[in-house]
Amino acid sequence: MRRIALLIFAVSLGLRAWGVNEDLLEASRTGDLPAVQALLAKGAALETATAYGQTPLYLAAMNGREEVVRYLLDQGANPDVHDTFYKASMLDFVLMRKHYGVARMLIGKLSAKPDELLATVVQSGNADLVAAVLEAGKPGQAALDKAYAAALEGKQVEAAAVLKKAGAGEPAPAVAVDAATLQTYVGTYKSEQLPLDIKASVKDGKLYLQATGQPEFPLKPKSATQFEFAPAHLEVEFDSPASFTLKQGSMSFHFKKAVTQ
Amino acid sequence: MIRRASWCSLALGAMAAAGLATAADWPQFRGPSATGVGSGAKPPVHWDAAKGTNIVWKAEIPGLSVSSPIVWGDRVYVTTAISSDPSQKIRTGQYGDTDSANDRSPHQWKVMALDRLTGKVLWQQTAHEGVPKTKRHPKSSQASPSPTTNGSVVVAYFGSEGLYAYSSAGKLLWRKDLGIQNAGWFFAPDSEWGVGSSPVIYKNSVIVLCDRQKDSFIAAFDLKDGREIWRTARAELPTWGTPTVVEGKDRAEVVTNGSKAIRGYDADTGKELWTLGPNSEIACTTPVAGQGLIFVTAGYPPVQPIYAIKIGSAGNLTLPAGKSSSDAVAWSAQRGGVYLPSPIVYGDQFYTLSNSGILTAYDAKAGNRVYQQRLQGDSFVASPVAAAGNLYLASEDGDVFVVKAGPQFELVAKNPVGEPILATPAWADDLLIVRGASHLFAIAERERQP
Repeated sequence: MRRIALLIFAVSLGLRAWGVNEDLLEASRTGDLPAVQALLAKGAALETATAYGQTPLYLAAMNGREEVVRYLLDQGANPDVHDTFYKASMLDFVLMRKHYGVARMLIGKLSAKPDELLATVVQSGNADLVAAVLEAGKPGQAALDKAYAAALEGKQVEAAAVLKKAGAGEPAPAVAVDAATLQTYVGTYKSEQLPLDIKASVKDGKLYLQATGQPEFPLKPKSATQFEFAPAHLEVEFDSPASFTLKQGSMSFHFKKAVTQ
Repeated sequence: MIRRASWCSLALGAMAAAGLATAADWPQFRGPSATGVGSGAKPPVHWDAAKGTNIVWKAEIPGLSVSSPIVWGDRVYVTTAISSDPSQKIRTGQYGDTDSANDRSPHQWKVMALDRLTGKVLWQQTAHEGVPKTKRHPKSSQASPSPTTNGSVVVAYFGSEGLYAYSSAGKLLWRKDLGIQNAGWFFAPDSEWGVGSSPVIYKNSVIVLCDRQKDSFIAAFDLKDGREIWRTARAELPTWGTPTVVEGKDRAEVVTNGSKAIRGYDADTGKELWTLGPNSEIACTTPVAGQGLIFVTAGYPPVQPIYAIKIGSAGNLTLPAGKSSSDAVAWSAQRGGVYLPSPIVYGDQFYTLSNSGILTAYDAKAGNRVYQQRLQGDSFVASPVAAAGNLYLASEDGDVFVVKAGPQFELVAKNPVGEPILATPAWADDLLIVRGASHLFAIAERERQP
């Protein structure tokens, strides 16, 4: 009997904890700072998470709730969390949703290496954030050069100026690839590793890639078989006109042509 | 010719009055049982809206809507939502943005009836006026579900703005507030995209699927007065597919797409009959039946499945690891599913169309891929329809591709209407009705025109 009573007590405690945790996630998402404070005081877990691994800080950050982000960071919330569905960092969503104030708060707290952080932040084209990354740590020359090339390609003049001032070198001139070679790459590609179709097309003498549901982007040739899209730090290497490897950071995906045209 | 059209019109009118569907009727999204297959023997194959070639009539429809037209007898019904901000548009093309469209201006939600032969507006009713209670996706509208009718009652569903039933003469019969329908991104509930699932009529009820961020459900309402007949809770995320009523040997089942599970319900009671997973976290397409199977697909991570389910199954149909078929699932694949356009079964083939315009044909019964071909269009969201041996595939670029149905790809024609097409076209026998961004186009071969 005593064991059953203890079990019921434990279950009711668990339900109560889950209730305050759920409330904390909701309050963080909506930016209700007094509720966040009250719920943490009631015992809600700072690192509780949604079914997708989003913590209170993650939700506050991706929704641009600066006050709550500041408070949760002060409480020691982990800014390096990646969600379990997209495997994205909170900074990725913060930048995508243009919550630059939150991004500024996170930059000094993240454990990512300066090279990686710069590659992520330069995609926003925001010069203040690029400067914040440079203040927070010193990236390597290669990372600096790459970020500068990306900023130039994205016509992000202010960000490029910050990077130039920090010592970035001028990018190598573009390599010309003849139209017939580019045309051999045209088609739709599939990968066993990623659930995405990638369409390659040629427009105005440039090779473009477009993933399902995404905007198309131009590739800059480094050689007749190697291309890059600096703003997203993508590298594409064709091993034949029927397949290529897509590299982004430490990730690498092999695609094979499924449909010609 | 005029005499024949008038006779047809009278006959159709008589059938409509009797509440009996004719082969020419297209009573819901994708027509009878959502098959997408029209009854016409000689539907149009070539047309050009700019030149007027084979265009029977063209009618301007105000506002923004991606809902499909429906047809009953001599009436064509459409819904629309008119924003008071004239700068509002539907953003076409392929993009991965998750944010809602920014339009908090007052709207009017309308139901319109047009003459099938002339395109003349016979009546229009404003169902609701006000600021939208939920936002829409930039590629969607505040009037995305298609209406449905049995000839005497026309039902329109406007999500958070409610469910409305009109007589065929345009009189409001009843309305229901179904609460806030926040259908949006599962990952961030503030990214509201608006509802998409269309109501469907079964016997004397209208079935509505309300999958939203919290407290999802499916329910049936009495067509006569809106009284709730049954309601079944669904442990579901927001979804956008229309439920499909499939008549089996012993029962009718309502088949629903869903992120957590694909499900079948008893159409008379709402009792859950079977479930099947796994599925994509975002499920947008409408199930379709053919060849004795029910086909369900979705095209978002973590899996993009295609399932061919045997009609009349029961229980948990989820396949054991490593298996792609069972007594209840004729065949399946965990890759190759599509995101927005619903699939179609026509002849011996099952076809999918990806958002990027890749048409894939499968052997409907066996599941092996027959061909895969890219269409020359940038973005597709409208679902394929078919008639007289051809598939009709409408692109956001404003072209309708006519492709010969069968085991080999053959492009028959590419026909422009001159404005983006996001709504699935409708058939009224040999008349094709295409909804562009601003107009409804009625298209027929010259000798078939009234």
